[in-house]
Amino acid sequence: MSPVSDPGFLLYFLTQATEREPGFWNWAFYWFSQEVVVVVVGLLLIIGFVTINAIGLIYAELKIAGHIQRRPAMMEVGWHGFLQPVMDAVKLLVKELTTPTAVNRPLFVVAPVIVFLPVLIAFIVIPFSERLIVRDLNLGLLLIFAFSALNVIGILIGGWASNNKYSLLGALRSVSQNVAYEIPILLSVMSVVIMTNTLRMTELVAAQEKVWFVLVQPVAAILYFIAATAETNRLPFDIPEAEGELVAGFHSEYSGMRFALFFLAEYSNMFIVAAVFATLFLGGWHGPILPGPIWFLLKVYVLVFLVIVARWTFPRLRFDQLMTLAWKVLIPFALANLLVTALVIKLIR
Amino acid sequence: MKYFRNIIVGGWSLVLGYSVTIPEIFKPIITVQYPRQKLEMDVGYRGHIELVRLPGEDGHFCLACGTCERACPSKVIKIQGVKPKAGANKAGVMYLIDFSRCSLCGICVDVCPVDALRHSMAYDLAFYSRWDNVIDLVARFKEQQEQERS
Ligand code: SF4
Ligand code: SF4
Repeated sequence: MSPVSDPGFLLYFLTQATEREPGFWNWAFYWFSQEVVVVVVGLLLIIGFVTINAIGLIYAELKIAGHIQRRPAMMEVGWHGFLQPVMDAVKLLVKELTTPTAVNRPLFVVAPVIVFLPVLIAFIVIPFSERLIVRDLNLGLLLIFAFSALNVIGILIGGWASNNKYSLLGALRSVSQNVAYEIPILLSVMSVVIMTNTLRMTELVAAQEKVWFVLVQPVAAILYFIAATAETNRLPFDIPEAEGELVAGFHSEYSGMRFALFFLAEYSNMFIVAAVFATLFLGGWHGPILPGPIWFLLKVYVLVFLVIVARWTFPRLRFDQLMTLAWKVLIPFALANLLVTALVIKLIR
Repeated sequence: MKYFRNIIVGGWSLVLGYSVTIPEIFKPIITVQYPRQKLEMDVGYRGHIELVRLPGEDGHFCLACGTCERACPSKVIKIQGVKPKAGANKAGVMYLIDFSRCSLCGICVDVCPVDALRHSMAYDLAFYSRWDNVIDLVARFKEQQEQERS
């Protein structure tokens, strides 16, 4: 038996450590309160927020869709149907998880989790206000983009494991779309980052104390908004799940809670994309009179509103149009914008 | 050049698209919640035919002449008439239409010599059996008259 796995030795070691180091328990308590409590409370808050956000956005989406078509949308369950998305969630929760026989079971099961987890991680660094942020990492922005890129792996795994031609085609489209649109996103974000010289979310917001970057970098803002809408796989860019051609794309075979995870991820992605936009270009929590978090949420939900309305306004792009837009329009413009920004920064400093 | 023009035109079309849909959200709703609210049908509406009811008049005007029965292109009308007493006009006592095959063409309404027919306002007809589609207009007429009296 090695000394480390011997409980007697461990106990001896611990007592020795506490005797030699009287501050051990203080330190342990401090560590516990700093790390574990923050992690647990943060995670609970994030999961709660993700759920409430998704339910609220589903309600908003259906209502906005209805009112654009001059009809009241759902009215039956609860006052003006506001319990409808809750009931939908309950329905998805209690539904049987069907697994088709031909699927690759382990991959099939793990795909929704891979799609959903990056969403939770991205919420860690979203600055709701100066102090309302789970962890203010110095690479916050990078963390969001690094983990959002994982999303596409989950979609690919899900499409592949479903063993269904529509799912596979949807997944492949999703990969090529995400690879294409990741570039203009990162390039347009880069032009902000070289202005502020930081990737820390709070510092990015603090840099916009006087003037919002949407005024300094309008081209980057527009490019980011278009590319980010494409990144969330929403109409007009929902080619991976074009129901007219591909049934539901990569999630055709999913049901119950697994499908709900894809759904949650989509709506939370919408929030994250809008939150990053608000942080980078709209001055985050800055704003007169109202407190910071309210300003932040206000900006985010106005953007989400625009994304939702886009779904009911613009027709779906054809796949070659989508690629043309990314490679021939967004990327050259983003590069040119980055170049100009870099030159101007160099000349000013 | 064409490249830049495309971008500008495309970008402007995005603005136009939003300017169409966003104001639409705030306009009043024009649909009704169907089973709870129902629309009043307009006078021009053509439902299945019914016998004309006039205020103050007791009874319908159908003479059971059979003109509508012969004119109906779908042959869905079946009339039975009796003479109440010798020398009097015949009167329809049974007027069946098979609504499932009626094309709502309105020829029966047009050809009736005494204008005894009109289109009804009934629009939400649904039945469990195809035989329920056979409506006796005289019975329906009497039922409605009873309802009006009570
Ligand atoms: S409306 Fe036309 S089809 Fe219907 S009963 Fe009259 S004549 Fe026949
Ligand atoms: S409804 Fe008119 S056309 Fe038809 S049988 Fe009666 S009177 Fe004749």
